[in-house]
Amino acid sequence: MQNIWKCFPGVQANRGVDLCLLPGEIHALLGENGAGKTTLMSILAGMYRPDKGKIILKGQAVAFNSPQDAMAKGIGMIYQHFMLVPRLTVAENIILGDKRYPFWIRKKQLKTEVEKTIAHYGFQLDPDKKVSGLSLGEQQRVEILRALYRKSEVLILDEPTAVLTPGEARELFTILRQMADEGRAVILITHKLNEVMAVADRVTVLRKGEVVESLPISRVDSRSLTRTMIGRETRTNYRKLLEKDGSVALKVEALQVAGDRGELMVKGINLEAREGEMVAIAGVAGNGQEELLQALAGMRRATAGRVFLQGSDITRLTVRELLQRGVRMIPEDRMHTGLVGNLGVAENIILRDYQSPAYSSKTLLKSKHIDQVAKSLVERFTISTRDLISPIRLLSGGNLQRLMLARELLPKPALLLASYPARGLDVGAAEHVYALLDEARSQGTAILAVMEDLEEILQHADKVAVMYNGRLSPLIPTGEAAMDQLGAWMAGIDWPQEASPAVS
Amino acid sequence: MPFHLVRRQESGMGIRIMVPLFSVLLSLLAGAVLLWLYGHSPLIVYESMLKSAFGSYYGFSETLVKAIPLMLAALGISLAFRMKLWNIGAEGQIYMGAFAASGVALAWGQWSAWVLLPAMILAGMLAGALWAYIPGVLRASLQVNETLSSLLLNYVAILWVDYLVLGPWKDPKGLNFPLTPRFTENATLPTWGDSRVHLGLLAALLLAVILWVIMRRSRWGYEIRVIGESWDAARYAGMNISRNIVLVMALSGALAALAGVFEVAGITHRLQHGLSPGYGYSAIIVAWLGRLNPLAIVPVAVLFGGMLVGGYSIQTEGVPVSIALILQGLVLFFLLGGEVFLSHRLARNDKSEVEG
Repeated sequence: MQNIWKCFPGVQANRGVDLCLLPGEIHALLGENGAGKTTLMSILAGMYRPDKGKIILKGQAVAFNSPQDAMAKGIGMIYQHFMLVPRLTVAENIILGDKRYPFWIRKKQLKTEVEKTIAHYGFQLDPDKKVSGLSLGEQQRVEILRALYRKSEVLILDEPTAVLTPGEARELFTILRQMADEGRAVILITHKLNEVMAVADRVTVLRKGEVVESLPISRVDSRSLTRTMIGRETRTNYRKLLEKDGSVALKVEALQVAGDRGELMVKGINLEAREGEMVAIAGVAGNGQEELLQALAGMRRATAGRVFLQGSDITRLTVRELLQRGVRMIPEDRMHTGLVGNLGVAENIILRDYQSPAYSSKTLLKSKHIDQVAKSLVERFTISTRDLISPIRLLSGGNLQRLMLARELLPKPALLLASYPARGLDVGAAEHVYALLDEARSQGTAILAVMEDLEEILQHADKVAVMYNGRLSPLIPTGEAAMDQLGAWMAGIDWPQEASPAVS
Repeated sequence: MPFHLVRRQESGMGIRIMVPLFSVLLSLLAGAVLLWLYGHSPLIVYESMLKSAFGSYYGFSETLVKAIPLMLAALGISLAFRMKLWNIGAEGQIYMGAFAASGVALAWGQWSAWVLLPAMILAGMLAGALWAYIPGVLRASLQVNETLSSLLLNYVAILWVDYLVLGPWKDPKGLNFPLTPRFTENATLPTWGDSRVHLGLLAALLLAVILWVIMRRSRWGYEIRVIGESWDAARYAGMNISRNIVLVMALSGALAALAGVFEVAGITHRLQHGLSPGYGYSAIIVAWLGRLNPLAIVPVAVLFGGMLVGGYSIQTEGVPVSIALILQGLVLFFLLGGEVFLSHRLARNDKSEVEG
């Protein structure tokens, strides 16, 4: 790829990027969120057109009008969000959109063909199984198979390990290596340094749409990579532990919560969080973490068990009653739950407290005062916005997260529930979020955070427990936790005895 | 295709006015083609429509007469649509309002106007509210699609009124026409001068302003807007979604019903078959064209009132009255088609740059 430029309104996503790919290599594309990695690869995969620049494939200039064009030339991309049809089988998904197949499909022939490919790569997959019944790791393999089945020479994977357990990630890397050994070029888009060091042959670092470095892996180390990626040294470990334990703020006893379809998602959990303490819940998404937090925030009814806040029973309280007692929450879905995209900053600031006398009388909103509060929060939390009324859906993820934190931390919370507080944020914005959480904690707020990145958990939390299949492991002080053990628990391996309740 | 759609980052004030304007223009153009095929000169027909609707005192007063029910029904609809509740039952709610008001007028016609008219208004709004309450409750408690249930109730309401005017309430001296006896003088609304423009106009204008204030400035309006944007966010904010669904539907129905009350009290002075020529449906287009903004609905309703009056007048030139309805349909068609340009813009496919 030579001199690739791509511009979105207001953002220069790629500025004159040159990238050279060799067959048989695993090439890591490293950069913060918003560095332009995904944009660059989407251009290669035919999803976007470059504003300028060209793509040369085996000595020939090519132009793709659609992903089908790119696929026909042997370039396949596997996006973070899988493009699979849940109701179809593995085999049917693999030939989906493949123009080589006639209107009528011979099922038997198809099955044997797919089985052959599966066997070749040593995957464990049943071609007749419906995709809806597969784990995320298995679904990803279906995506990879689809690319291989179409004879992809270049395979692009966008943050492939985001949804995988550490064990599944290791398996994925073995597969990627095998594909590279067969002469394919594999591109790994990631922001995780350890993955780059573990699997890549060469690494290209993007920053603000430009290539800052492109080197063989033997000539870099993770410290130098971080520096190039961020453009400065990171601050580490700003956590200051409280001198003595606070009193118990949150106590959860044998809590059970049902999911949307009535199935039990939280299967009897015990948990304690003290004032001024940050407890992290690790785990692969979908193991009941979301339901647990929603139940604690009053957005979902517990089917059994009890919850106490500072000693008083809050199990059956509504969202509003919990807000009055200082239970605040940062939901996972910023745009549709935590904030309203089509409203402005000011109207989002009052979302949770619009009934408080500060923001409204019995009937009317106090616009002037609301604007004042919003203005001061925008300054204090460095939210960059043009004004207080334009729809906030135009703001960046970091700004949205700070906006939500500004609102939830405004009256000092007794308990802050946070769902993936730094997900999707670049390193700078994530640091800012953790600094804000840290500040709240040092003022005595108990924080219960659902997180996925073990490194971040060990760095920022005081205690950690793993949630798997609706159950919670014992709470372990992060100073004593071993990454390997947590990783195994996340995959449900060596699960600790039920006898030990998760009480600190 | 030499063009492709590109997502707009934001839609400014200009585009939000240009898109509906352009949609109306295109629908007039499409209507012109139809008229031309039908053997009429589009320019002459449009000119005569415009003249008859806005060109004379009488014409304009008739335009306002038609605009009143459109305004009221559209205000009701806009309230529900703001919450993404697709109440398309305004037509039925108009009939129920007319029915209840007529019942009061026929039973207690001798009451003083100061008591009788408010009683008719109250009874009519209550009936409309109840009629819309049914799909509201079904939606809130059983997730029954309110689009279908509110639409189907229209037929029930219209047939109910037909039953009354053909049966128990039929005017014995009415030469077998499907209508009730005439209301007493006390049950009729005062009108402006010698025109048919009645007090309902003031009420509609006042309600438009009140609704605007509620939506923009009130705590309840804020709830409605948040619920309309996202149920998850509303739940997170501790709002009671079910209660608001029922409340908004009922109020929406009450406003539409008011149009029916004013039609019988201000125009027909009796309940009759075919009371509304589809005001409840046209009002959907009015509400949408006004972008659900109560203040914008006022001029749009006048425009549509003019289209109805113009449509009637061109009959004298041998153009069927349906042309006005076709034009309405075309406006909605182009309007909905134009929605996409609020969030997207056209960009030329430029191959040369790709190939470099």
